Amino acid sequence: MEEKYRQQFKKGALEMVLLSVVARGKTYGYEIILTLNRRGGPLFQNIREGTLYPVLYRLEDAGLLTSEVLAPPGGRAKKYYRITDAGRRTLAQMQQFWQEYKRCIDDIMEV
Amino acid sequence: MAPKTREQYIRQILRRIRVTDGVKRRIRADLLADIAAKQDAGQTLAQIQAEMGSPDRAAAEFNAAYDGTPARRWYVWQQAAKAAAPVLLVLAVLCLAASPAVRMALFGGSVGIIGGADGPTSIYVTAGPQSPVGSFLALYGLPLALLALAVLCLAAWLLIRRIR
Repeated sequence: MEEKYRQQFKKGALEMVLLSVVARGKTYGYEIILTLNRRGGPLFQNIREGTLYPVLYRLEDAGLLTSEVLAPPGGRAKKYYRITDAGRRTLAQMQQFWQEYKRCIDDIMEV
Repeated sequence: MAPKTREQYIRQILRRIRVTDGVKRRIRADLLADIAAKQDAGQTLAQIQAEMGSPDRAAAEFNAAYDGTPARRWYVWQQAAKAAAPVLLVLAVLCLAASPAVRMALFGGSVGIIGGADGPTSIYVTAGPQSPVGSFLALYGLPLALLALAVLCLAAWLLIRRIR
C-alpha cells in the first residue's frame, strides 16, 4: 500500500492510540515510543518524536492529558504525561466510535 | 558537521522547525528528556542520532505534523513582524535624515532656488498658510508613523514569543 494511505490511517487513529497508552499509567515520551514499537505493529512501530510530540501537545492543550516533570531518586528528571478525567471520557467515546466505525467499514467492504 | 553534544543536536533540529518559540521550548524539553532516557538505556549519542536521523530529517517530521496548524500560522506572523520591524526602523531613520527641503517638497510645499552673485539661495515656499501642526506633520509625520509601526511590529513579535 502506498505510504500516503498508510499515513492517513495512522493520523486518524494516533490520538486514540496515545490516549489509550497513557491511560494505562503515567508515562514519558521515550517510554511511549518503546510501547508503540513493541505493540504497535507495522503501523506504529517506527513512530518518531516528530510525529509523537505534536499530538501529545494537542491532547495536553485540549485538557485530555497533563504533564509534570518528575525526578526519581538518583535518576534524571523526566516529563511524565497522565490522562485527565476529560481524557478518559473522550477515550471511552473514541473507543465506542471505533467499534461502530469498524462495523460500518466491515459491512461496506463485504458488499 | 555532526553535532558533538545533545544540546548541539537539539539546537540544530529546533533551528529547522517552523513553529513559535513557545512550542520550540516544549519540544526542546521533551527531546532533552528523551535523549537522556536513551543514554541511560545505554545508547551513545551517535546511535541516538542515527536512530532519530539528521537534524533536517528530524525537523522535517515536526514540520509535516505542524503544517496547517495554528502554531505554524503564529510562526509566520512572528517571522513577518520580526522582519518588518528593522525595515520600518531604517525607513523611519532615512526619512528623518532626508533634508527638510526634500520632505517639504514631498509633503508640504515647494522649494525654489535662485542664483545670485554670491551663490545659490534656497527659498522655501509653502502652497498656502500652514499651521504649526501642519508644518510639524509635513516634516515629521511620515518618519514618526514608520517608527510607530516598527515599534508595533517589535511588540507583536515579543508578545507572540511570550504567549505562543
